[in-house]
Amino acid sequence: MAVDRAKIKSIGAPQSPLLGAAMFSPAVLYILLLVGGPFFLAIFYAFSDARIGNVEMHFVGLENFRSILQSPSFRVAIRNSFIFTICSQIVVIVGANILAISLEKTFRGRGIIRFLILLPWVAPIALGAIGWKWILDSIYSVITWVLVAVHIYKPFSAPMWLGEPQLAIASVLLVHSWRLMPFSTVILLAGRTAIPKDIPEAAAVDGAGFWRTQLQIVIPMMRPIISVAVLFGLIFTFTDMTVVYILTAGGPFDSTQTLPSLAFALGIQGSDLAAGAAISLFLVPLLVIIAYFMLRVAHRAEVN
Amino acid sequence: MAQGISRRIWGKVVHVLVLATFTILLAFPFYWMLITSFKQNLDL
Repeated sequence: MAVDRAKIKSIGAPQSPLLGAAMFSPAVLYILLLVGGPFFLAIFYAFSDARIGNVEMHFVGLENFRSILQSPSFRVAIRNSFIFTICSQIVVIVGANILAISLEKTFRGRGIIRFLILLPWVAPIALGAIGWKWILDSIYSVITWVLVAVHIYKPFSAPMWLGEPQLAIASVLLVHSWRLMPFSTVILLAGRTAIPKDIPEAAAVDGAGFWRTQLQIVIPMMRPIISVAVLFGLIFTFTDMTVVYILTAGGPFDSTQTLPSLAFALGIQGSDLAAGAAISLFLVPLLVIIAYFMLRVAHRAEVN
Repeated sequence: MAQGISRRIWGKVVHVLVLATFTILLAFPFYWMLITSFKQNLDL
């Protein structure tokens, strides 16, 4: 590193601090305008009584937070946000590990299988959610059709996948897991191919079977990569409102509402900007914690 | 020897089953969207 720096200096690059600041300023400006602007506006709104269509605005202190904390929908939304995020991550990491093991070996048609498995991630999230909405529809559901055809349910008495609170929660969970599994699989697959082949081979020579090699050697070696996949998955699921919005629009009776979807429903559709801003601010502490761990993992990878 | 061969066959069967299950689960919505787009409302 030291040698490299010396080389750069000897070329004679001009060391003007002004030029450095000028080159750096677009990035700072970009972050301030696109991230900082809306963020501080949300904080500003959360302490006001701003409403869509109202030109006046007053400072109301913590009134919005107090009324939100007393609302049952908010409590359900915060519970759902955690249920969706944690449960879908468990499903995704277990599934992605199994898939990564299966996709690592070479076999005929591996390219097409990888393409099909990657589809949910490369397609727009709204498209996938609309597809699932059709599959889980109350009248046209293909799952219900199959269940009726094999005589598990009688016609017209089949479950309403998106119409009953428990089933609706399970459906949203399913779509979140379906959406994130390819992403985690790709990350874990990359992690697996980075492990030197001689380590599992040496373990096999020493008599370790498949499970022992996976559980005691490969997965512990992949811990940093798995944590990257989990951290990204947590952020994607926690901040996502598309799946809930398209599948159930928060219903039935706000039972599948998450923090982002409730913020949208109250703040934009319900015109209560202040309440929406206050709800979305509840996302910040958790995302800050996740961001801290992400930066730590990234820093560790850099040091290594 | 025979045990080794049966183990390998079982391994292959499990491999194919796992891949088939995940592929069907992950690609089914797209297959469904594709074939329904060629159907009439009455066929659904």
